[in-house]
Amino acid sequence: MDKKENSKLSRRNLLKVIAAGGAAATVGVSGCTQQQQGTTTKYACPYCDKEFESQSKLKTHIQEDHPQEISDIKKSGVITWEPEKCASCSRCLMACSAYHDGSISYKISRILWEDDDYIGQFEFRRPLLCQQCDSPECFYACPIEGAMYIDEETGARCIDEEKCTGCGECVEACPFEPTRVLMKADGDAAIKCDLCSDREGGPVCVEVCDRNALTYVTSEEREGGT
Amino acid sequence: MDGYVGKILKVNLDNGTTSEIDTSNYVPDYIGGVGIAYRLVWENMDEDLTEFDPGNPLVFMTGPCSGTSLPSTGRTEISGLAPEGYPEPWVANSGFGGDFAAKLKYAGYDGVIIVGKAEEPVYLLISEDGVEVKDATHLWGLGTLKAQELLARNHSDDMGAALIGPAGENKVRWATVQARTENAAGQGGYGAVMGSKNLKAVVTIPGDTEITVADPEAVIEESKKISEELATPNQLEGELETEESQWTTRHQSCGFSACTGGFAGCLPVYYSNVPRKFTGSGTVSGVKYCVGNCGPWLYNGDWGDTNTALEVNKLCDDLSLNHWEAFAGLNWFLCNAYNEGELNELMGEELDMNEDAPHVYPDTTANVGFSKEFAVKFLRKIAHREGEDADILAEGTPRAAEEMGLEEIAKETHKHGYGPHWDGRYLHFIHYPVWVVSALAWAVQPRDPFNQQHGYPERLPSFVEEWAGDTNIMGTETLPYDTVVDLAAEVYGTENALTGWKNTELGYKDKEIPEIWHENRQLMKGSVPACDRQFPLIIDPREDDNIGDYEAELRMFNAVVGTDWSLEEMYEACEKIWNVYRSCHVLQGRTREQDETVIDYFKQPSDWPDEPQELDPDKFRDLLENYYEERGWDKENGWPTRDKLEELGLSDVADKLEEKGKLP
Ligand code: SF4
Repeated sequence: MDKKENSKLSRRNLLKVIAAGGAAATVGVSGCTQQQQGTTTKYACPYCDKEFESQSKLKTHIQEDHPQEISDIKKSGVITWEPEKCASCSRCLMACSAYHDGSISYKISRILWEDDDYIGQFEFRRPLLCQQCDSPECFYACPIEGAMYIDEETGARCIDEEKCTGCGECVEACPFEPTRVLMKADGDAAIKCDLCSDREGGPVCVEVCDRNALTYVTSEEREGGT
Repeated sequence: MDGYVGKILKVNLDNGTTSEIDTSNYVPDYIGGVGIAYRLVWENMDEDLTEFDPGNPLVFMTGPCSGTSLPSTGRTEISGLAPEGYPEPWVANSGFGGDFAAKLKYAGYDGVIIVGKAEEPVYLLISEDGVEVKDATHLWGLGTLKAQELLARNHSDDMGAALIGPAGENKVRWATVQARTENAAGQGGYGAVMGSKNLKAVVTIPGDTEITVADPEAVIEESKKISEELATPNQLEGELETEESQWTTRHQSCGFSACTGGFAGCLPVYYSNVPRKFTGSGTVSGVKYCVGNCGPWLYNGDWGDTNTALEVNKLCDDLSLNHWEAFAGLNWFLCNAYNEGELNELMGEELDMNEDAPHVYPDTTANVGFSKEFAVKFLRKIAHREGEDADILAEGTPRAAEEMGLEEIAKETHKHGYGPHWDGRYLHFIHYPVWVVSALAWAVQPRDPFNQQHGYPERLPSFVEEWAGDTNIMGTETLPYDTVVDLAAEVYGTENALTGWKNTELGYKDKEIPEIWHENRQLMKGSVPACDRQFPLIIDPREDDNIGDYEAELRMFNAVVGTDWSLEEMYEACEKIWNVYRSCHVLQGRTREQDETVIDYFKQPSDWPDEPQELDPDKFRDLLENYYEERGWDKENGWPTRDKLEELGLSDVADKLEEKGKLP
């Protein structure tokens, strides 16, 4: 946290939600949203002082009054997952950490793994993927210039591990539960899915999934609404 | 060294102490899996040790590829003295897939060896925070499903668990070690070893331990390539379905029932939410494939009734009873005894068994004809040793037969303590000379050999057009027998690898070569580890030369560990392991005489369509001698010689055998 205070807060204001009912929640402008139940939330505009009663109102406001602010972030590609094809083999996770770290562990995979409660049988285990939000709150939350960046080609919201100080702001900012931005075990840096942007052949998880349960949708395809 | 996480945990339940063994003492020579397990058993046994002595070392081993994205590598191998073995508890092995291996490694251990006996029921909790021997009195008596529910609630849904139900607790000699809901180490009776140690479960909580791999790109490439090779038309057909009638169906059940690391041509179909109609309340999950739904052999042969099959199957899992012995071993023995007029009543009920139950395949409608209700009662009572009959049957077929004075009838179905399996009789119909190699495998091994040697009796013949039809069970095209003989010659390195069907004179010729080839292969896949059933890839009609990628397991090993072994170097490691394994049996009193007891079994009349129909004892003895010679063992006893052991760097093994008077 010290590092954060020392750094220049060059980033625009964080997109914040004031949670009256206890649990704080952040809500994306589009692409990725998470509804919180049992809380009265207000949706604050990150670009001015206005607050709104609903997410959709905030969204409309941003689109109408701040088109410039949101248009400079490139839409990202994304990996989609089809549960009816998945065999829950966890190979995607393993290949992810093999590619990024040369070693394999659920804990360092950029894909998370969720087990259903075990009650006499298994219902499902599922890989949880980063949604590469249109309005990436992890990116906004990062206080270090350049530690998070948008990959020019794929649009992936990426972390530069060299520059990352491990402050954890992005981890907390991720609107998903569990968060798709992880802290490394040594606390040195945060890690997240980068769509294997530097890898020839694209995302490794998509490539190794022999059930074809994962599909890579490029930013252009996503832009086109496909 | 990459692939291994570096430590093997040793637990002594006598006093609850733990220590760590460096994995590096054993690798890469012993590879991992069964390789290290057999060596650890050898180091922790002596000739007086018995299966239920606290000192019987119970070993759980993973391999370097476990927990990686390589297909079907999520396997754990168990070894120790096996209560199911007969007349001696021959050191054997049994493995299971699933996620236990991965989660043990993520918790920081390549394996666990457990000795001693706890005074009260305990379970072992392994995590990066430490290893604890914890009180299990609240779990004792529970089925494996309920016990796992409580363990998951207490620890984590993400845990790995290997545990026993009532059958293991009551030392039923054919009790399994269950892992999660769809995996079990079936043969050997290792569940009874856990029971004898008062050990209910081994639970492992994955932590931050990472499995480093030497060549990540190669691991990723091989993961894709080998999966594609393993996939066969029938397995690729259709997408996963989510609904089938009243319960959920999911095809190709990797994550649920088979291994972490991805598709390996697994055929099983996983079901969840199957209603329990007469084995209890609520719902269960299950797998439809192989012995996973072979309950109908025990009762009415109604294969259309999937619900009952899955239910009875899950009852065995819950009790930790071995499906194979229940559905394809003990049941045939009882049926034979009934049909020979030696058995009329069981567990207080008059029997009305199937008088037409054939002794021999290919009649798959064969069943012993218990009512479903009686089948359930039969399994439950045995698991709890409730009543005299159940108590006797809990001892496994050959020992029960001794007690009943029916040894001769047990010899029709059981060898070394285990029921029929890929020997050309009962369930697995195979042509001459395939069963000659089968007989040799049965002779020299401590248990039914074809869990890890499906390749010769099952896979190879499945590519022979005259035997399997135009397309085989996997939906793959077949080839004429003569073509397969030529291909086999290339793969096995002897022109007689599969000869004999047309020219019966050649049936025994050079057949020790394919046997040794497959022994190497069983050790390789048991150590790397990789799927028992799918490897090795021998024939592949999709390839130009029709030869399968039989170096796949080797490349997986090299990519993960960073070695650059050739197949020959891998086989040298396997030979070393095989000699340690045989030395365990020699220490236990194994001689040529025991090896030859299979002759009677293979001399029984059958309904095989080809001539000859039974084993020729003289030719078989010659074959056995050729095998010993090729192995570098003496012909009198089938014991490894000092020369051979020293050549393999096993002079310590030779010294110990000599000291016990067991070196030729
Ligand atoms: S690799 Fe594919 S099938 Fe396996 S868990 Fe990942 S998405 Fe599911």
